[in-house]
Amino acid sequence: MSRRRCALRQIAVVGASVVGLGLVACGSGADALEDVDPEAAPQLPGYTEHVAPIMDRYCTACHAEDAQPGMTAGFGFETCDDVRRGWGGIVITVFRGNTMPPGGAYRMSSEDQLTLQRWFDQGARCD
Amino acid sequence: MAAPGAAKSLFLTLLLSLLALLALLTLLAAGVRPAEATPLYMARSGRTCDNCHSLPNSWFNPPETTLRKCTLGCASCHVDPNGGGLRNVSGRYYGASTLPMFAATGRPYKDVRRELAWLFGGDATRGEPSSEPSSEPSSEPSSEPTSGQGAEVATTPMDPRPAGSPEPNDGPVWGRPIGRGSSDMAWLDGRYGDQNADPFVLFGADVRLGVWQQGPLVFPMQADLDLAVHPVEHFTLATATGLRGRASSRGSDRDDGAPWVDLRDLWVMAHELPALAYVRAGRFLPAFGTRISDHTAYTRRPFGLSQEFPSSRVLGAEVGFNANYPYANVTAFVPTASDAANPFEVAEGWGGVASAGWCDLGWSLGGSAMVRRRALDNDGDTFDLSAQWSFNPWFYTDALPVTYLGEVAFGTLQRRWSGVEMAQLAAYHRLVWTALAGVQFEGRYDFWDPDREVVDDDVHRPGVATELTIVPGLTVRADVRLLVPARGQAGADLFVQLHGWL
Repeated sequence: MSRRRCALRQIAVVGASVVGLGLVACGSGADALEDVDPEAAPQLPGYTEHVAPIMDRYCTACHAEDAQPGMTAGFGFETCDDVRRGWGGIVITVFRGNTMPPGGAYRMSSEDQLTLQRWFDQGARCD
Repeated sequence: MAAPGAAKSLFLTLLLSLLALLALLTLLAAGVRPAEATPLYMARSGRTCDNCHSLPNSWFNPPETTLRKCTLGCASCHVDPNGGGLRNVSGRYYGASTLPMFAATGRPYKDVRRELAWLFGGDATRGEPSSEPSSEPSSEPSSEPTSGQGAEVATTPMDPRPAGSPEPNDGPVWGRPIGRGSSDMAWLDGRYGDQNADPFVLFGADVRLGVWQQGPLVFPMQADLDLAVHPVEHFTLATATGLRGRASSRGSDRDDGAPWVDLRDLWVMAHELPALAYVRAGRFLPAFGTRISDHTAYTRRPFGLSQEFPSSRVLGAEVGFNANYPYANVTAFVPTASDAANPFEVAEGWGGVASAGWCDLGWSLGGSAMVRRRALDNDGDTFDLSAQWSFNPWFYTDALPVTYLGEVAFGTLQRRWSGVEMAQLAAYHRLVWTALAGVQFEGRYDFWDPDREVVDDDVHRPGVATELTIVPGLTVRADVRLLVPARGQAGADLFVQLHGWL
């Protein structure tokens, strides 16, 4: 087989693969996590065991007194009181707007959002 | 064992290592993150022999295919047969001769007109062939002699450098193994210019400084030291160590007390076997999918293969080969604990990986399957499948210096609290245009659906990047990324890396 024909065949194979796989790369699912699996988040989340690790995973690299850029936007999420005080912002930027963490960083997962929401709905205990 | 001048080589190596250590110790900021391999170079290198070594001819060409080391797999450039980290002599030669914009080692016959030095009136023939080509070299690698009039193919290994050249001993290396040259599969001196091809000790380092515009955050992303000891032919012990990052400053209330230094890899390997076959055992990253340099890629981190997490490493044994051109490997392992107190603390469970594929000169195609059985509080059970491919049109025509990499990965895993099985899907595409030696521009697209049953949790992440390898050992990269979630607003950021590598 000539090089040209071989190259064209390879382009066709790869192109078809990309198109086909690109069609697969579409979101699926029809329900919220709580409806799909009510046990997907802790039933009684506590601040120390469940909420603090979530805040460290997504927020405190920028929103903390010891954060490298300085306390971004003037507020932190290092303590239970910080999270309770900043809950309105979390609802707007994370749950509704899905704009935080910003840029290309990983957004908060459905599991972690459900955990936070349950913690707050149950009184946001600082334990 | 030790070649003449080894004392000087050892002194220089120790000096470089001390300087690297001092640089690491000065990085006192909070977060360091490891980076990974660049299969882009694998996909791109096959178009011309002198990417990875000097003259391909006037040389000893083993007649048996299984004795050739011309594989386009990861083992052609890395000590780790699955890529990443420490680079062997072929990888070091690639980094010195092909990657940089300036101060590149002379290449024998290809691509000199793609170098900035030539564009600004430099010598287009400044490569160091052992003799002038008798005709215009073919762009396709060939086993036929291309150098010298009537050049003969030798029947025994010989150094192709000019007569009287000192013994090749360049590189972050020291010494020679016992039995040097006794293996048909040993890397051969002279084939890589003045690089020591078969050292007793080999050092490596990767240090990255990152600047994230959104913070803004300026932080050391990576600080790794690698070491390989090759005391006798067919045997190597390798280790990779790095600084470990965290979200908070050390000493703060949120300091989790984890040690500064993380032993990532420690394994022993029997290798230099026909078809680049090998067996290794120890602690390493399982050979699933494509080891790319972005540890945040959705085909890596969500599948538990990101280098920053100790639990990504396993303790096990692996056997495989990287021939010219098929490859395959199989791994059996036990998982490490996500909260391990030491690198060798194992967790309950077991796992296995099988990978196979074909790395041809202008394209590659492969697949991987991995199963892990673990306790739910140690990330649970998973089953993952991946298809990986690359295509390098540049191999077929110099008018199209682009390279494309892609991967799609699908996996089942357990939800952390309920243990219910769920599925995720991720894709990775990368198109790279090598405008000039050391100057590349990229387009990239990532996709991730973290839970196939949940609505509106998927995310698309397109981006563009520029990467400049200015001199050997120094690369600057800038990424502009756009994250487009299925729900909510898109976000964009600029991310710049300064990468020093040895």
